[in-house]
Amino acid sequence: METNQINTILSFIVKDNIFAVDALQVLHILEVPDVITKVPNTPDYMIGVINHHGNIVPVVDMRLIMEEEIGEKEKNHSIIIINPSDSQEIRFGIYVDMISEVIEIKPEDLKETVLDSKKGMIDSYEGTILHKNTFIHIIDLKHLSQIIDN
Amino acid sequence: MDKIDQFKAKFVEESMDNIRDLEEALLLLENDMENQELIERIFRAMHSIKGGGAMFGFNRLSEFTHHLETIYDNVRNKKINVNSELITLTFSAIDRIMHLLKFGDNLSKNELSDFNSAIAGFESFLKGNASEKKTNIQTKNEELVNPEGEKSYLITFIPQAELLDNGTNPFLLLDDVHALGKAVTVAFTSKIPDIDNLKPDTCYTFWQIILSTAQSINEIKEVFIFVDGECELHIDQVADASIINSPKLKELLDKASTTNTLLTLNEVKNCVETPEEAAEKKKAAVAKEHKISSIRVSSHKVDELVTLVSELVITQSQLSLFAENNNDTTIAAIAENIQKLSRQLRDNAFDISLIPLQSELMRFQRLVRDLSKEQNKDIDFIIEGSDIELDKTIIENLTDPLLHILRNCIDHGIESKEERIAAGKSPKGTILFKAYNSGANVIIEVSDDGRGIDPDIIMNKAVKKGFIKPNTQLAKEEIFELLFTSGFSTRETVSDISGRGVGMDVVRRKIAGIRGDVSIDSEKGKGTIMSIRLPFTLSIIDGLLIKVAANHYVLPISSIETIFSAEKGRKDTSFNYVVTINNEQIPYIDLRDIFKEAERTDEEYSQMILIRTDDKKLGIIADSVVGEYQTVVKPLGRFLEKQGYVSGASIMGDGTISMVIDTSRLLNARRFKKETAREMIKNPVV
Repeated sequence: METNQINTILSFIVKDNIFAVDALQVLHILEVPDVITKVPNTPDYMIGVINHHGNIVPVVDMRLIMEEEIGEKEKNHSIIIINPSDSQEIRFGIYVDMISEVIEIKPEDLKETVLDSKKGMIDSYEGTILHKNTFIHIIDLKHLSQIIDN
Repeated sequence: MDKIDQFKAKFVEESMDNIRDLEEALLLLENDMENQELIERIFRAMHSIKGGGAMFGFNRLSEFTHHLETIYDNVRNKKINVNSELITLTFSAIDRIMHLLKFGDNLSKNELSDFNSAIAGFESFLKGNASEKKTNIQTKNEELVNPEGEKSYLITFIPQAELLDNGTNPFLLLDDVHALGKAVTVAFTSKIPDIDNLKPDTCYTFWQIILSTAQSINEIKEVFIFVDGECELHIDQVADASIINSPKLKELLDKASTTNTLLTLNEVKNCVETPEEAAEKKKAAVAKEHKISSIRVSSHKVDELVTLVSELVITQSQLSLFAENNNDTTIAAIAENIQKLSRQLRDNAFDISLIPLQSELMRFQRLVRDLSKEQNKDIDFIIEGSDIELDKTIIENLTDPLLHILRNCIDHGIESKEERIAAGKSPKGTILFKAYNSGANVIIEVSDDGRGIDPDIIMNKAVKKGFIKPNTQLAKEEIFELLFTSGFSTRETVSDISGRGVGMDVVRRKIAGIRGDVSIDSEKGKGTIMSIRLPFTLSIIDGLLIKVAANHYVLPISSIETIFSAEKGRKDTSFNYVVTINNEQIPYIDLRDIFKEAERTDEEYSQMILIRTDDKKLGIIADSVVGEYQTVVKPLGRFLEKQGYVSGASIMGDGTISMVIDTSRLLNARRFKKETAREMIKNPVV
């Protein structure tokens, strides 16, 4: 990849905030399956693993990563399968409250993210854009996978 | 990657194969210096490296190998004898070839002069040895070209028109000639008239035959003895070897039959191959054989195949489930067939993804050879179980730790000749490399008959380093365990602990990375055994499906000893999580505790499964045992490597997932919890 520029993002909602990830690194969007198999001895935000086309994919709960409350499972809840590189080894899913939309962005619209609260484990973002009068924070997926890795 | 880089990468990969082959042949040659086949093999490998090098822009490599090849060409032609000097020279040359493959033509000045001096070394070697063995070249050469004593003849057979009148069938004669050896026949039909003028009982056709046979010319003449006088017959020897397969001859024959002109003796003689051509062809033939016996497929494709097959197996079990639930016999029959086929396919696919340990052994042999020469130690390196197959990734990650272990064996384990004789041992040391299957594991043991490790020295050192308190009582096993502690030993202090422990923590970490475990046992003065236990992560395991709270788990059946119901009474008598079974005290754990599930209520029924790894036993309490289950273990990926209790996951027939429990880690979890020595280690390695 010659540049790290993000042109298209997939936005989603976690509690009251809108976040987004680089659409190119999204492999699939899934409905939340009935069962997510728990893996023993893992942190709370690691909900468990799911069977994604015969591959075992871990799923992390974005609500817990953002240190939000988790409620009952709802219809809108979804899992985004992230595929940072082609390696199946580091594929993972993120559990979000709702998928919002796919947005084309212009690089000049991308502003540095101002961390408004100390809430959440993520402290690195690709940037923030203003879209339809709301701020969308674009998650740095490398950073996120480092968090999961530890 | 652009195309040419791809080709280059491919060339490098292929050359590494060639080098491996080269090393193997060279090691064999060292024990059997006259073996012509090995010399050919070496020459061939060099030739391919040279040729490919020139093609893909590795010019220095090509030049360098060319010099080496020249030497072996001389060896091949028996102008030079193989000796240990040559073998050592070649080994060092191989290292340079690998260097050149890695760095291409970009060499520093020092490297360049190193290469030039190496080339000069070849040349002086060549000069020193070339005069040695000239006398018998001639005879040997002939033998090489013509091992079976075959000669080629040109037979010109022009029957008279009346030949057929006597009832002679010329075809039978031709058949007889063909029976003598290998033959090619050309029929000349120029004399056949138009159909109106054709007399059916006249022989118009005449023939020329090229025959390669070991029979004498008289044998050929005998074939034609009954037509003597009824035909024009010339039999001429054209070559001392078989020319039947010569491409030039084929051309000539084609030309003759289209133009209907007789072959002349000289024309045929020109088809005789020079020895070089013959050798070239032999090479090509051998190369072809190699290609048929195996094909090169990128590992990525194999991985993909395995993934697809796994998916197929899962889908198939869904189909079986569906057929069962619907009571449709037609579908049930089809499902059963698919089940059979997919099982076979799965076994095949997994078989493909495994590679034999053999592929890496060459490097070990090389290391042992080099190091023992360097340190002037005489070492027998015995390999057992080289055909044991392991997953590709496991083998890749295993090489470095094993090299390290072997190096330790030679550097510190095996004593010098004098020391060995003084200790009453044979002056020749032995290193045994043994691989074997044990249940769901592969065990690799590297043992030497060297000086062993003195537990007292380790204890003293551990105390000095502050890892344990003075006067701590530790079992021998626990003492050796200290060697794996990070920072236990550094290079400066090699000698005072017999060298073991140097980087052993690194070895353990690497092996743990492929879900294996390593342990040491040693007896002072007698030797040391390093055992590595490895799983086949990708392979299918026979498992026992158990249930803990709401979840299913799979236990590898190979590690299970017995299953019995864990009655309330029995547990009550237990103290400190130990049960007594057949008068044996066995520790146990409750999976509900380990997996942090809600505690079992007293009414709930539970079962205890006794597992064992090596000589350690552990009871596991689960809610219930569901049954036997054959399954494909899937990796959990990088993010779940650290949890420590499960080695993988398995997808069930209904698409849900069960965790596969890593029994040896469970055993360790228990051991480390209780172990006092462990607590005393200030900086435990995790």
